[in-house]
Amino acid sequence: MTDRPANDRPANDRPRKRWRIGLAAKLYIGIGGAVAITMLASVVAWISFVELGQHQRRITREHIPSITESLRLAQQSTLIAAIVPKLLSVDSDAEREALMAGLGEEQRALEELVEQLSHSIAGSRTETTAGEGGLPVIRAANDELAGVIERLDVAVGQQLYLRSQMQSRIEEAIDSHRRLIEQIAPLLDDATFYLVTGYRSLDDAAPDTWEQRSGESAMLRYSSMAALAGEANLLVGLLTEAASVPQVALMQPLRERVEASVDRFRAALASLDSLPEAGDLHREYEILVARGDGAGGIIDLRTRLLGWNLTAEQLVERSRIVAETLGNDVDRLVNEAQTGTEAAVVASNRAIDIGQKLLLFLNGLAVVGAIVMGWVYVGRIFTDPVLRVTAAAEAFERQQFDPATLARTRARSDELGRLAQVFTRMAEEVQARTDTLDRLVSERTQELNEKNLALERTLRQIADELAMAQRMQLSFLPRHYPDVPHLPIYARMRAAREVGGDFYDVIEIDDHRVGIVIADVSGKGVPAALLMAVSSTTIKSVASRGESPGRVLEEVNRTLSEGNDAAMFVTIFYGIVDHRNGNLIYANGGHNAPYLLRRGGQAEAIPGTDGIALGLMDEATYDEKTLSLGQGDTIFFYTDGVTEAFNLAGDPFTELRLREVLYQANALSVEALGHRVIRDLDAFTDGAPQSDDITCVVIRYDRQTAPIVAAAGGSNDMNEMSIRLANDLGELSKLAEALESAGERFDLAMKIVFNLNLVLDELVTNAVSYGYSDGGSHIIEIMLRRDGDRLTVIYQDDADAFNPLDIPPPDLESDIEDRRIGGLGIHLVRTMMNSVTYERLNGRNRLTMTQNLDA
Amino acid sequence: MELHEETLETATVLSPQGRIDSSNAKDFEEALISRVQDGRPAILLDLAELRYISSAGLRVILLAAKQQRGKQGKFALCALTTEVREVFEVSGFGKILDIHAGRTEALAAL
Repeated sequence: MTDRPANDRPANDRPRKRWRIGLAAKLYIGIGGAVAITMLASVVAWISFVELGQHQRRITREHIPSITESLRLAQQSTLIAAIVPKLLSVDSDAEREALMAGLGEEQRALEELVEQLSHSIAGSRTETTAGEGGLPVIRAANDELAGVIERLDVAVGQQLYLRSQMQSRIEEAIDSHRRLIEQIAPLLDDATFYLVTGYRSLDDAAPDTWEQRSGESAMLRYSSMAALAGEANLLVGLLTEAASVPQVALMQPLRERVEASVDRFRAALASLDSLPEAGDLHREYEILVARGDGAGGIIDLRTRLLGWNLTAEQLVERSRIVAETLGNDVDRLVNEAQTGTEAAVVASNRAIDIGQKLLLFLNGLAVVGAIVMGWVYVGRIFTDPVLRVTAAAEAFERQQFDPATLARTRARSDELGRLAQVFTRMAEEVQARTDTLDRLVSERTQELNEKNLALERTLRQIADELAMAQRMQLSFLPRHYPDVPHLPIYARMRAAREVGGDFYDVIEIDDHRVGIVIADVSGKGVPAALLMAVSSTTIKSVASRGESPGRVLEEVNRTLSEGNDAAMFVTIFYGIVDHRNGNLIYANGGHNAPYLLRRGGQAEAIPGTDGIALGLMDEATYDEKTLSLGQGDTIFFYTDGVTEAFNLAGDPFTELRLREVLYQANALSVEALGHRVIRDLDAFTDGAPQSDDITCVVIRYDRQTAPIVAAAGGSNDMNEMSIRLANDLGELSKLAEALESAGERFDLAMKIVFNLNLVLDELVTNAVSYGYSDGGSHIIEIMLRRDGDRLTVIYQDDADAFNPLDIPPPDLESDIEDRRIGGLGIHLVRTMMNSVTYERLNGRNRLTMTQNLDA
Repeated sequence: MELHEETLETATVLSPQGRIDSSNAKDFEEALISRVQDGRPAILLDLAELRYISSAGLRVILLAAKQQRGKQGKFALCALTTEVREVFEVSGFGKILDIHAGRTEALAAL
């Protein structure tokens, strides 16, 4: 696209001249409309609520109080009606008065409630008229109730009075009767005595004859006396009965019987008027009669009491009826109030309903309005143009922008129109520049690709050559050590990179001398490897001639210094050992001094000879020194990759640690010692990358003919190893060493070696401590063999017959106080090995154990 | 076998060095039991430097623990190596004795 001047635009793109309404203004207009509708809805809601409030107020302030009060009124009258009957069962005036006082309070409370209710009804604007009719009826009932209670009070008072009177009367009557009988009884006795015996008294000398006695006067006297007694008793009995007669109707027959008895008594007494006591008897009897049948007598009192009882019961019944009527009237009142309440509720529900419908309608309107607004207004005014410009920007990103798509937007009179115009101009300019750039870039990319292909080819070539060089270098290092008598040798080099700079060599000079070389080339990688190749071949050929170490180093140095412009150098330690006598003669060219480990002693650096590294000064001289190796002495040659191995924290291994390890491993075989040093080194570096080649050579001067452990390459079968121990607990350390060595030989994990140690320890200890009753010295044999992933261990002794598998396992679950001490060792044997079998064979105990190594 | 001893405020710490097997178990026993019989209130065996222990050694420890318990004293072990720890577990000692990972933890518990 070519550039165009800004003014040259199509005619329909020019903005029209008209009143500009900005985006902000349009926004406010829209919001204003939304707010207006919302406010309208709120006003409507508010009006509905006002009306609703009015109805609610009416309900709570008017209808409900009157209902509440009416119910309380009904309650109160029921309460009073319940108290009233209690009056019938009072026993004293005090009780009656107390009860009446209580009743009085309740009645006053009832009065108050009636007044309250009348106020409520007067204050409300119910539409019913029943309120006016109901209240006077209630008042009347209330008054009647009060009257009834008053009359009841009187009745009960009378009852109480009459009852107490009657009680006195009865006591008096009984008293009279008693006195009467006291007088009659002796007379009757006399009459009876005379009638029966004929004697008038005990002092009487001669009795009257029957003819004399049977005259009418004696019989008459006797029967009259008897009648008096009888009638007196009968009278008192009838009066007692009268005191508890239940009904008035029954009183009359009783009264007649009383009067009949009284007549009979008087008649009998009249027939005895010659009796001197007749007058007293008459007087006493008449008192009795008056108390029973006279005015204020028992019969009279009882009759009156019965009347009052009836009255009281009638009054109580009346009170109940009145209370019931009152309750019914109140119910009616409540119903009326409830009707009023319901009408109010219906009205308020209607108001709610109308309000709801109106709100729903308005909300619907608002929603529709919002949608329309959003769609039409917001869409047209705001979102459409923005989307269009965004689409244009995206199209621009894809380099497909067409100015025509924004034509309408550019025509707008507000800020978005401006945006569209500016954008279009920008896009057109950028497009032009981009096209140019694209073209240039694709040309350059083409060139680069071609160059890369060439580089890759070269790189592959180099990698191939490097791999070949590594293979060659490794082949220079000795694979087999010569089998030197009395001088077990172990050597190991681990390179830091593919090709390394350290090397070592073992050179058989003649039938009694062996040369040991250890060297470290400066630098790393290919240049170091080249120098190493040259150095190692040079020293090998020079040393083979058998000259002394100093001369050898001098000649090698001359050779290396000749063509060496790059100031690369190599440090070399060269020593010759005479294995007939253990003499060592050596020269050191700048290499770190090897360590001498006297048997059982500490590691000491071999004294230096002040020679400099080879390759620097072509006329350098090298002094020699000698030292004498004793039985079991060891020399440890190494390069600085050992002492300068770093761990992740950046600390080096150091000579100190090396000396420590050497001291600890002093008694191990040369292989075990070497392995031990490297293992400790690896444990120390713990994952940090190896920065330099690690090399070590270990030699030992050993003249003893029966080594405990076969040296490398000395046994027939690499997979088998045997250990012989004397029956002495001191041999256990020998066992430990031998097993360490076995661990190296068979490449066993530390855990396996530990467990083997534990198991064999137990068996040996057991045999030594308990197995030999003859107390002599014996041999214990142990054989180990590895077949693939299986390790077989055979233990054999000639101790007394004993099968450890017979011992029961210890009780592992019991608490510390209960544990028996013992049997533990055998448990360990059983647990640590995968299988254990025992046999007694040719007078020997033999245990065959196996362990899987693949776990 | 060397036995290092440290007397701290709260406990006596004993650290056997190297190996314990039936050849030197007796020495270990004498040393350990004498500490128990001294009436030390709390004894901690720090086994960080112990590379190897056989059943003879385990018996001694069990004996000491029982005696110490009988005296109402406290007894614990700490810093066992992996292999030594396994021996303890296999023997069932793991459940009976107080074994802690580190010295500070063990001292705090005593």
